[in-house]
Amino acid sequence: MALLGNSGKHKNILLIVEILILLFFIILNIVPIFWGVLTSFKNPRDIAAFPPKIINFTPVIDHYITVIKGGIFKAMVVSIQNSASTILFGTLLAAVSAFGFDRYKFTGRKFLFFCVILGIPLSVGSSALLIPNYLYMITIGLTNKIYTLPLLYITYNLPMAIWILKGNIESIPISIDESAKIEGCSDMYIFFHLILPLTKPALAASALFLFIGSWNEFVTSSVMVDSPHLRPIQLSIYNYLGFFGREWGPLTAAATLAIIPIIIIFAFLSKLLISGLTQGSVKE
Amino acid sequence: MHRRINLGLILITPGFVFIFMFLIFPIFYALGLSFFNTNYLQVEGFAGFGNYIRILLREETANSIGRGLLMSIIAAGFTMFIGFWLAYWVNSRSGIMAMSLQLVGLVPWVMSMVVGALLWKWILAGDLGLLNHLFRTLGLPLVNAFGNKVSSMTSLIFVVSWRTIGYSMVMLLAGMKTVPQELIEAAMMDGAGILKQIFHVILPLIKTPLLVSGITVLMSNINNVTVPMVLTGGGPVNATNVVALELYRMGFVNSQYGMASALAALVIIINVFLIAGYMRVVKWHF
Amino acid sequence: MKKLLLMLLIIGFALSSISGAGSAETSSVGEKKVVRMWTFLNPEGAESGRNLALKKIIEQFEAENPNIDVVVEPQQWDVMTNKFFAAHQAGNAPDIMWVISYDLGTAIEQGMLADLESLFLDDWTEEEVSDINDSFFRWGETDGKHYQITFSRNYFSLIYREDLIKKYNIDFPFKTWDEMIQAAVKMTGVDEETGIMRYGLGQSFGLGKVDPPIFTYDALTHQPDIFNPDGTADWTTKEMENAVARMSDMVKKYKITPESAVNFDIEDVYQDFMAGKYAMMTGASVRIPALRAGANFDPESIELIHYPGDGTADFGQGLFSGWAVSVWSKSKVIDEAGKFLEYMMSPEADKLWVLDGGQVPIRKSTIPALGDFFDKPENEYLKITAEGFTNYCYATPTAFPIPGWREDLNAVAQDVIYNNTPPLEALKKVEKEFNTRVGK
Repeated sequence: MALLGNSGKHKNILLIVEILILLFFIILNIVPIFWGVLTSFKNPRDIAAFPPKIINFTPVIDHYITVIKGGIFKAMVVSIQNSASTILFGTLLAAVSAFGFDRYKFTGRKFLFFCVILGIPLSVGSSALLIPNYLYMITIGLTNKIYTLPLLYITYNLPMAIWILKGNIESIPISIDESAKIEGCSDMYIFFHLILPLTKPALAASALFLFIGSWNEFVTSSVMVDSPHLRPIQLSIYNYLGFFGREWGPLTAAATLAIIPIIIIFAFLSKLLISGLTQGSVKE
Repeated sequence: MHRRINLGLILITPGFVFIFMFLIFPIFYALGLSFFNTNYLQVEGFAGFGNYIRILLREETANSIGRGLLMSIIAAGFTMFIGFWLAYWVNSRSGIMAMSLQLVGLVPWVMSMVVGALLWKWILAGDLGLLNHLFRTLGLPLVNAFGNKVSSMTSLIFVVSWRTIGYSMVMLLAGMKTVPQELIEAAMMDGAGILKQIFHVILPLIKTPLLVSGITVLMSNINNVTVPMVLTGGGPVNATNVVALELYRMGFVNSQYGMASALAALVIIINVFLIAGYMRVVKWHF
Repeated sequence: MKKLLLMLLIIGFALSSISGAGSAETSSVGEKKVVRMWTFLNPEGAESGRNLALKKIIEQFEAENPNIDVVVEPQQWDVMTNKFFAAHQAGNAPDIMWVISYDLGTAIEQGMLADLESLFLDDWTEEEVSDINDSFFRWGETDGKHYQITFSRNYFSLIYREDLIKKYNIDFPFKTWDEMIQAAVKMTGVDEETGIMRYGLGQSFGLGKVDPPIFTYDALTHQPDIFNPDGTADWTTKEMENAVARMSDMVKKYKITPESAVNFDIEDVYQDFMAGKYAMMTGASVRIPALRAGANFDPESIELIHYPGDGTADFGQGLFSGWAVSVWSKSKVIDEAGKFLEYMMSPEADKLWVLDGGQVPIRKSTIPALGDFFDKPENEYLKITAEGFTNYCYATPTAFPIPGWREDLNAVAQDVIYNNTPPLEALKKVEKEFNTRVGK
C-alpha cells in the first residue's frame, strides 16, 4: 500500500510525489559518497577547482596507486583477521550467554543482565576514557598484541549481540526444550542442535554488528596498537588526514576501498539480517 | 521451569568476564582518576571531589551538556522518525526500489565517519561548496552553513542524523517484517486510518527494535566527537560545543585528565538515565 | 554452500590471527637491539617525501649498525604526545619520541626525556655543536642541558600570490600591518577569469584544526612575549587589544577576510586558497608544495614572506613550531636510541630530509652543501623559512606548560567578530580561563 493511502484518481500523483520524496532521500544519502568517489579519481588541481568539476575532468587512478603502495591491502588483511576473530568468538560468546540468560534461572540474573544492557552505552566509548583505558590495558599487559583489538571489539559489541540473541531465543517455544529433555537430550545438545539452528538469522544479525563494529572502529585502534603490522584499515585511511593536512585524493580512495568489503558482507548477510532481527520482536 | 541452577551461571560467565574486564572495570579505573589531580597524566595527589566541584562551577559544563543533549535528542528523534517512514515504505513494497533504498540507506552508517563528515563539510561550507554552487546556478540566495549559531547547529544535526537514518531504517524494517500482514489488513477493514494502524498495530509490535535502535542512535550521538569536531569545531562561539567535544578538549588539548574523567562520569550517569527514561517510554521490561 | 564457504573463510582468518600471535613478537628477540620510535610519519606508508626520507635514513643506519633494529610505530599526531605521557607513567614508552611543540616543557619538567649531552653532545667538538646551534637547538634548554632536536620544522607566516602582487602593482614586501591591509583591500574583488569572489587575506578562527590567529603575530611585533615568566598569560596588554581590534577591522571594516572565517578551520582556507579564493593567507611553510600541486592558477606564484613589522624593523614575528624529537629517559636501549637520533641529523641524513622531505635543514652547513638546490627559484620559500627561523621567529615557552592557548586566542577572535565583544573584555575572559587552567 502506498505511503499516503490509495484514494482513487490521485493515486498516480501521489505515487509520483512519493517517489520524488524517496529520490530526494536517496540523493541526499548518495551525494557525499558520490562526491567522495569522484574525488578519488581527480588530480589535485581538479579537486580544488572552482566551479566544482563533476564530469569535465580526466580521471586518474594515481590515488589508488598511492594508497595501495601505502600498504592499504596489508591493513585490510589485518582488519579482516580482526573482524573474523571478532565475529567468530563474538557470536559464540553472545549465543552462549543469551542462552544462559534466557533459559536458566539463577540468583543475580536480572542484575547481571542489567549490567549487560548498561554495557551498550559504555561500549559506545567516551573520549575521556580513552587514555585511562590505555593505561589500564598497559597495566595488564594487553596492548600492542595481535589479539588486543579482537578482544576489545568482541567486548564492545557483545552487549548488543547478547541482547539481539536473547530476544531471539525468547521467541523459541520452551516446549521444544522440554520435549527434548524428556527424550533425554543433554542441555548442550539442546543448545547446539536445537536452539542454534533456529537462531541462525539472529546470529547473522549479531555477526553484522560485530563486523561493522570492528571494521569501522578507529579510536581504540589508534591508541591500543603500535606495531606497523597490527595497524587496521581505518588507521590507513587516517594516514591521509595527518599533521600536514588532508590529502583529499588518497583519503577518498582509501575510504572507497574500505567500504567495498562491507558491501560484500552485507550482500551476504542482508536477507538473514532482516529476518534475524525480527524474531525477538514478537514477544510478550 | 526449573533446571540445575548453576549451569546458567556457567554459560554466561565467559561473556560476562569479557564485559567486566574490558568494559565495566576500566570505567571504575577511569572514575578513580577523577578523584586525583592528574594533569598531564601524572598523578599528583588526591583531590577528593575537587575535580567535580571544578567541573560543576564551570559555566561551559552545563551549557555543553545541554547542547549535547539537544543535538542528540533532536537528531535521534529525526532519525527515528524518518527511519520509521522509510522502513514503512520499504516494507510495503518489494523489488529494486526497496532493495536499493535499503542499501543506500545503510552506506552512511558503514562509511568512515570522519570522511563522511569531511565530505559534508566540503559540500556545505563556504561560497565555493557544492551546495552554494547549486544555489547560485539556480539563482537562490547562498547559505552560510557554519557561519552562524543556528545554521551551524542545524548542519550538525543534519549530518549526525544522516549518519544514522539508514541504520534505524534497517532495524525498524526488520521489526515490521514480523508484523503479520493480516493484522494490518484487519485494521484497515475496521476502517482504521493510517495513523491508527501505525499506533495501534505496528508500533506496539516493534517495541524491541525501536528500543534497540533508539538507544544506540542516542548514545552514539551523545558520545560522537568526530562529527562536531570535523564539521563545526564547536563554533561559532561554542554554539555547537557539545559535551563530547568539551570532554575531548579538556583531555587532549588542555591535558586536564582529572577534570575530564569527572565530566566523563557525569556523562555516563546521564547516559544511564536516558536509557532508563527511554525504557519507560517504550514500556520495555526484561 | 555459500554460507558454509563464508563460515570457513571466517574461521580460517580467525585462526590465522591466533597463530600469528607468536610470530608478531619474535621480531623483538634475538641479538638485535630494537629501538622503537613514535612519530606521525610512516616509512612503510605512502611514499610522500618525508616518509621516504625517514625510510632511507633508517635503511642506511641499519646497514651501518647491523645490531640495531629501528622500528617505527606510526601514531596519530594529535593523541601521540598524550599517549606518550600515559606510556611513560606505565613504563612502556617508546625509546624515541616526537613530542608536540606545546608539550615539550611538560615532558622535560616531568623528567620524561634524556638529556642529549650525556647521550652524544659531550663528545661533539665545539665546531660541530655550533653547526646545529640555533633557536631550535636552544628550545627547551634547561640548566644548560638540551633535550631535543627539532624535526619537521615549520614556520607560520604569510603565504601570498606573486602574480596578484604584480598585477595590482603593490609595494612589496609590506613594511607595516596597515600596508598589508591596504594591499589586501586592493586584491579583494571578483576574479575576472573564474568569477570567484576573491578575498585579500585568508585566515580562520574555527577550533577544528587550529593555528594561532593572526593577531598573535601582530601583537608579537610590539611586545616580546605573550606569556609572563611565571607561566601566566599576558594577553590583556594594550598591544594585544590593538592587534585584536585590527584583526576585527580586517573582517568588518576592510572586508579582506570573509565573515564566515569565524568558523573555518585552517584546512578549509588552504583548500579555498588553491581554488583561488584568497590572494594571501596565514599559513605554514611546509604546506607550500601541496598548495602548488593543487593550485588552479600559476603554481610558481605561491610564495612565502614574513609578517610585516611595526615600521622600524624590516619584518615582524612569525611562529616556529616543529616536533621535538627526544630519547625517553627510561629507555632500556638509551645509547642505541641516542645513536639513531644523532644519525637522523647527521650531514647525510640532513640532506635527505631536505632533498626528499622538503624540510628546512637542521645543520647550517647543509645550505652551502646543497647550494644549487636552494638557489632554485621554486625553493626560495625554504630560504625565507630559514631566514625566519634565525631572525623573525617567536618560540612558545618551554619553562612551563601552556595547554590550549591557541584555542583560547581563536575563541577571542570568534567572540569579537561574532558577538561584537570589545577586544579587551574578550581577552580578559580567556586570560582568566587560561590562568585557572594552569593553576595560577
